[in-house]
Amino acid sequence: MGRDWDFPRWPYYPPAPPKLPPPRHGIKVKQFGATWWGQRWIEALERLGYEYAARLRRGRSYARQGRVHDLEVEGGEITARVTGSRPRPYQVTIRVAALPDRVWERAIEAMAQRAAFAARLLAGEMPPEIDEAFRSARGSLFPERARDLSTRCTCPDWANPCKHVAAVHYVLGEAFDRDPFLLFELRGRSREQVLEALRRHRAPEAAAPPKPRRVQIAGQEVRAEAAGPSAEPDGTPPEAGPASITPRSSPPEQYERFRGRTDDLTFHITRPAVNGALLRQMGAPPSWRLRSTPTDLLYPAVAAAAGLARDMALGAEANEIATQGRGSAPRAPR
Amino acid sequence: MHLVYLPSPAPHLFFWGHRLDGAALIGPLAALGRPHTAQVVTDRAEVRRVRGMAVDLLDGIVPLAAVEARHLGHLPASVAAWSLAAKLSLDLVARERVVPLVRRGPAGLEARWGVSLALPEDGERFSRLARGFPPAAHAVPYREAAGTSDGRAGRSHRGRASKSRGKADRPIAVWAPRALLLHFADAVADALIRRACVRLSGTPGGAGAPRRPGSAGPGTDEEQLPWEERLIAALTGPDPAFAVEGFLGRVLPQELDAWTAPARGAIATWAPRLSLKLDPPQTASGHWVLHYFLQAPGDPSLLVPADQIWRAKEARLRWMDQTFEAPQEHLLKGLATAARSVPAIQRSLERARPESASLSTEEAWQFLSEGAPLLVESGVTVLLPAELTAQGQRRLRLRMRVGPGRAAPGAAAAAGLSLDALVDFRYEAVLGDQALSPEEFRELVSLKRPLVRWRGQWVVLDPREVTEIGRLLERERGGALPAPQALAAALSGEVPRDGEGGTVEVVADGALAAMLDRLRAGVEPAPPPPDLAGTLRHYQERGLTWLRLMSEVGLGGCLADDMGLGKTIQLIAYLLARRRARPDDPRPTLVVCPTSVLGNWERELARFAPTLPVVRHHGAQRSTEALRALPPHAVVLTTYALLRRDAPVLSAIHWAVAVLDEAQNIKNAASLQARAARALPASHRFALTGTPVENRLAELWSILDFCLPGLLGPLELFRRRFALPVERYRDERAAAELRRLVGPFVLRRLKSDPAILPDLPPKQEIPVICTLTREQATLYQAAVEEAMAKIEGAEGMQRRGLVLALLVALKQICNHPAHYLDEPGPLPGRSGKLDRLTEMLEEVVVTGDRALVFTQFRQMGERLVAHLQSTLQVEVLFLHGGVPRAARDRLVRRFQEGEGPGLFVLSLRAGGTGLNLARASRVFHFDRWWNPAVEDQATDRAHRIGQQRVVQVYRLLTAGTVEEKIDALLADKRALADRVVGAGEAWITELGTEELRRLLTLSADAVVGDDAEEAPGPAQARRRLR
Repeated sequence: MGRDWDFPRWPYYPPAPPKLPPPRHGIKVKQFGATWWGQRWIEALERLGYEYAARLRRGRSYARQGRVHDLEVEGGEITARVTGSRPRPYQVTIRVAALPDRVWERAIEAMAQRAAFAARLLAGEMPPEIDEAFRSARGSLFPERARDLSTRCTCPDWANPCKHVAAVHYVLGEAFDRDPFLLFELRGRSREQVLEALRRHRAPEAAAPPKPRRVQIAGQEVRAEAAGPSAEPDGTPPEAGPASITPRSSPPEQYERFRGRTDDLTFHITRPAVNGALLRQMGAPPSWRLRSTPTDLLYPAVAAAAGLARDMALGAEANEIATQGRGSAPRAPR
Repeated sequence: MHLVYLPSPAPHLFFWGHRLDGAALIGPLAALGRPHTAQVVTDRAEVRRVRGMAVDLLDGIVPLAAVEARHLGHLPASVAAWSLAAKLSLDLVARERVVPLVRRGPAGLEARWGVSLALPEDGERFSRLARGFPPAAHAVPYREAAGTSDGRAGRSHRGRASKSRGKADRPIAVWAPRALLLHFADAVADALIRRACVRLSGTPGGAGAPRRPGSAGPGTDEEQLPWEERLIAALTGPDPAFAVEGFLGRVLPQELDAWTAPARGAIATWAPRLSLKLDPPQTASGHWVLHYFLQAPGDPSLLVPADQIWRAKEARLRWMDQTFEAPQEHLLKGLATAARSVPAIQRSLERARPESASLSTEEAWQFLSEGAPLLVESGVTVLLPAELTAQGQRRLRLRMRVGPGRAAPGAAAAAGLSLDALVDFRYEAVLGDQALSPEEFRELVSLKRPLVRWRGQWVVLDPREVTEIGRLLERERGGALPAPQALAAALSGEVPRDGEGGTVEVVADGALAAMLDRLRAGVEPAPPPPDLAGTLRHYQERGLTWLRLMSEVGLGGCLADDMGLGKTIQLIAYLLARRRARPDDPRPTLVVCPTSVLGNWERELARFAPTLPVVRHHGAQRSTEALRALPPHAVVLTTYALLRRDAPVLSAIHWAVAVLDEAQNIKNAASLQARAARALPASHRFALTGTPVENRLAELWSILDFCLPGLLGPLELFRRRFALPVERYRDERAAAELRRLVGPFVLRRLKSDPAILPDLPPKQEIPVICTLTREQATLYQAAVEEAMAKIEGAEGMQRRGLVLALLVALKQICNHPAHYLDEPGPLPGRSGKLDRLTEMLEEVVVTGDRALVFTQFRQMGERLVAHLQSTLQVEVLFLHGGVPRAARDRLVRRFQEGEGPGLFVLSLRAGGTGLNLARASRVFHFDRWWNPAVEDQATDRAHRIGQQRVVQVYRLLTAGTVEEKIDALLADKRALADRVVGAGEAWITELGTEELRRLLTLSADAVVGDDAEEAPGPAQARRRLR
């Protein structure tokens, strides 16, 4: 049964306590709105449903228990199932209104003026000034008005939002934490469209053809030849990064021959200059919610493996494989 | 024999192929294998299922990584390639360059460990190895299913396979080297970490995994755990499965991918990466500028400036021959990440198209000290002005000054350093090359600015470093070190810092500095002592000066000149010079050598230093009394066997100088003779050897630990710090440090040195005096007695015949008892001459020279060939009168070829004429013809006009026998020699009986080996070469 936010109220109908366990593949939410933009999404719900605090609370608990499942996002529509009191899960649909093209155009124009917008988005963050950009275009990225957000649920509850809608909403809040572009998608522009438009607005008027230039790095001699697709004379695949290549027919005697110089490769088996530097530099993924950091939990294993590697590399017990003669076994003289 | 890495189903190594000689080579690897079949792409570009051996990944990489760098060229290229891959993987894991990854596996998502290629040097090495990969090493058919571990792999594969040409019905796709190598390195990292986890926890279950008891199965409890805990469990436990379903499955992999990508590195993810270049301000008060670039993933030298990137309107930029996908997005993403640690970059992002950031002095310092290292770790290339890099000099830093103040106690203090003394050190603050006075230091610190303009240049003041320096300068001003440690620190120029990582610079001062200056200055030749009965070549005078210098500064060293450059005469000259310089110190010198060269030493001492008293401590008649009452400056000669056996007697004397000749005899540091050598009390210790390192760097340790006790630290440490890194990993830092450390104490000149070459005559004749074994001496004496009895009663032709027969018998005995007795018995240890020849040829083989060995007896030649092949483990060619023309030409051709065998035995008659063997630079005459014309003709096979190299001709003579006596006779009586040219040995038959007896009887000074323990012979006891 379709409802809008301002649908006439139904008489009170006490919800039956859920009798079914949450399904295995339910999406369990730990923290609601870890990021400010996820928070904003949830606020939008809570502002609209402030009269139904109890339902929101239950929705929250549904989200925690993982009663939301089969969530899908397509265009501006979110569909999901929520397992509640009845054996058949309820079907929830949330529709977010697309922003008009002119709002998008102006907002993107504003965003293109500051590289920080695109930079943050690409780094997985919603730029804090995003509101300004949309406001200057007389729009709002986050749903603010009732018509921005329409919901439907197959449950018999008259309230809007019902707890099932609320649960899906909370789950989405967590999804936004991870992918700020998701909100754009719901508002009518895919990630590619946004980036493409930004690029278009960013380009300076006159684009001169770039002039090639090589720069010397860290005292390293710059190689004169290029590792381009045409620079491989011997059937070596061009280095475009594919996982597979098709060997061109090469003479069999090339089979056991190095294609390039490797005999001057050197190795340095040593302790790291700073313990755990790489893990610490990685930090935690944005939606990490444990109190211990990944570094705390993983470093002991990394350090132990490093010690193991050093022992294997410099261990005395290692038998060398070339122990017989110097390459060719002695032959009889005659 | 081919080796491939098979990524699926479970990663393992697989070797296959028919060539059995290859199988023998990789024995230890084969021992780990179990029979297996697998699909590979053959050298005919066909996919075939072949039989072979599978080896577990972690089992396999240990022997692969242990292959010494110099052996790689002898292995099949595919084996060598995976050996390099194993080394690179261990290198990365050892330095903790590992990243957790979440990838799609055959059964859903998996959490796996992978390597990080974010650091430029790692990415560069990885790319170089992948580019060089031989086809056999990655001849693994590629299937979509096989590539599931990397979700992105499949797409590009399809495009490529369809483009292939050729007449094959179905195009073959194989794993690209880059992809397979990365898969391998990732698999090694993953397996190592999981093994480490098992060890950490004691049980397979994971180290950091906060699992609840009884929740092992993938059942209900498991799913209650939050994904973070399940991720940790999947990374540290036995099961990498990491199931996330529904919507989480949609967003989490992306998020985790973004989390790990910077640490994984652009090479691994094949994305262009950010590069930042810091430029100092033009004026002292100006701003620092950080310029932005994008770096090509396939070519680190290619940097695209930001202004060019902003101009691109397309999603793809072609720049020289590299394609950049989404360059603006990569630049922006990189900048957003960098902005987290560099606020100035954040500010620059307020512009639409930022090309650079401007930094205040404080910010520039913050960037240098914190931002830049973090960024470099995350794969951003940071280019700094040279003066500000960690290697640059304009940095306030701590330095350890070693060697000032306190004079070492003991007599040698004035001249040099005693290795059992203590040396003072103190800390100081240094800027550039200049030590700062306390006032200057305080002034600099009081500026309280991290980047300071000081004497016209920018200087970095790391507050942590400044505090540390201040603290050390206040409190712990210095201390004292044992002399060997102080010397090692001063030579290597740095010492490890206590506690944390890193090193402290070291500079020498006072006596130590003066000594180092002298050591490093190089030596100018000094005139030889006047009582040397002989002349020194120019380089030998330098050698003498070096020996004297080492001795004056209170140390010892290793004279490691090439064979034939005259190490013995240099040492004799040094002993004479020392006697003149220190008449007040009459203590004796001990020379330890193999029995086979004892006679040579005795004769060279008598010839060049007739005024030095020589005592031979050898043989059954050796006496302890003689050692107790040695004349002043006596030289005691003894053998390695007696060094061991008479250790109590020999170590009771405090020697002025102890010399080990053929010091490779103590290359095994654990051997009894090496221990006995180290235990000798001596003021100066010298080792002579033509091959300071025959096989392993550990041999150098053993020799130098004799010369300079304690300098190189304990052997185990030396192995881990220098020997294995250099031998296996071609570690240049370790090699350079070792060179700095031992360089001054090893003098090695090669015959082929351009500096030596003009000093040497094109053809150099060197007599080599050998000893008889007891068996030889007994046979010799018996043969002479028996024949002389007959000769006395004979006349005419019969007498002549008897004399000639005796001469032949004596030559055979000198050659080898088995030769004389014509028996197949064992060869090593029974002939002094053969043992000496073996030692010398071993040096020839080790140094890669080529040599001819002439004998007049075919039977001896056969024995020589068999003996040399089995002892030296090299092929030896043999030419004698019975070899037909065609075979003979083939032999000559093989010897003259680039890779052919380096040793050639020729019977004098067959090899004397008409052959060109100019590749040989050394010629050995194993026995004597006593006919200079014939011998010269043979020698000329090697020494040809126009040959660039010097040819050295060794005539092996047995001391005290007819060989030595006739040699002396010929040398003394040139007229006689001239007269008998062409007459061969006939003139001997004309000698009177008494004359004959004098000539043939074994003289009293013949050196006879009597040491049963030496019987196996040093050559045989030695391990395989190289």
